[in-house]
Amino acid sequence: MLEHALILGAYLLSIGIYGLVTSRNMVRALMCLELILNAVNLNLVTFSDSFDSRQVKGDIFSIFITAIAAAEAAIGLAIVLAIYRNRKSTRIDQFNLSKW
Amino acid sequence: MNRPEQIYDILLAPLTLSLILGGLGVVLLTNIIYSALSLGLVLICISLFYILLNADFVAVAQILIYIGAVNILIIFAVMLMNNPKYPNSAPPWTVGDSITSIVCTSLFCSLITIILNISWFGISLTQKSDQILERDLTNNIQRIGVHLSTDFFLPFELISIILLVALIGAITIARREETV
Repeated sequence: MLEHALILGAYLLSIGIYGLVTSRNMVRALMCLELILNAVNLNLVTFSDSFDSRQVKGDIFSIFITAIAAAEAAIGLAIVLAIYRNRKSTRIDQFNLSKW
Repeated sequence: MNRPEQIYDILLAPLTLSLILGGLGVVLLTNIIYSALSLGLVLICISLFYILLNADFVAVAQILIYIGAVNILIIFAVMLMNNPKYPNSAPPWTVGDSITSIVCTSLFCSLITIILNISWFGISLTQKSDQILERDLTNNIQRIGVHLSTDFFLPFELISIILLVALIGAITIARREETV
């Protein structure tokens, strides 16, 4: 059970990294970031269940990560909306706003 | 584990399969609404996995926060930005995609090798525990509640400030400019 859950977490992490790097749509990149954070949460809860059943420190930390991920998704989508309103396009590889 | 073994065996294989397919669907589906709904499927499967791992409160919090707020927000953003004329000038598969897939596959294989080669139950963790208090706590939410209000009180308050700042910032960024 422990190794099963850890392998699933590793799978979600690697496919989230692949999607984050290669996606051309900005919203898809944010969705893959949520996948990565969920993989980390799955790892934390798995370890908290296997080794730390008395003081569930892993569960508490995963709640904090969930809250931070929700806040970051809200801000990320607001930024994407502002960019789309100005540029009328969602192609992430054509933007050079941060280029110096 | 205080769950009967039959629930493990019945739920584990379909959950794993739908997690694998949902993860592939988020990344590889071209229609982005389907991709957002596939993300919802992945979040539901992870929540059911948390129930199998004796983390009841985290499972319900996952459903409430991730599926109820984050996924709905993503679907909102997708519908606000849906571009009917899809720009077909992008090549569907570039060299960077191949390099990234090789790197991610090697990362996954190395993680699997590490996970399967560690003797997990040879690790002995010695921790001092508050025996008097913790004997009376029976379920997950009581344990989380006790530690959240004693040991983790400062991060709890800080996270409420972070959420407030994030919401004000998101509204400020996404607000429509008022033309006088």
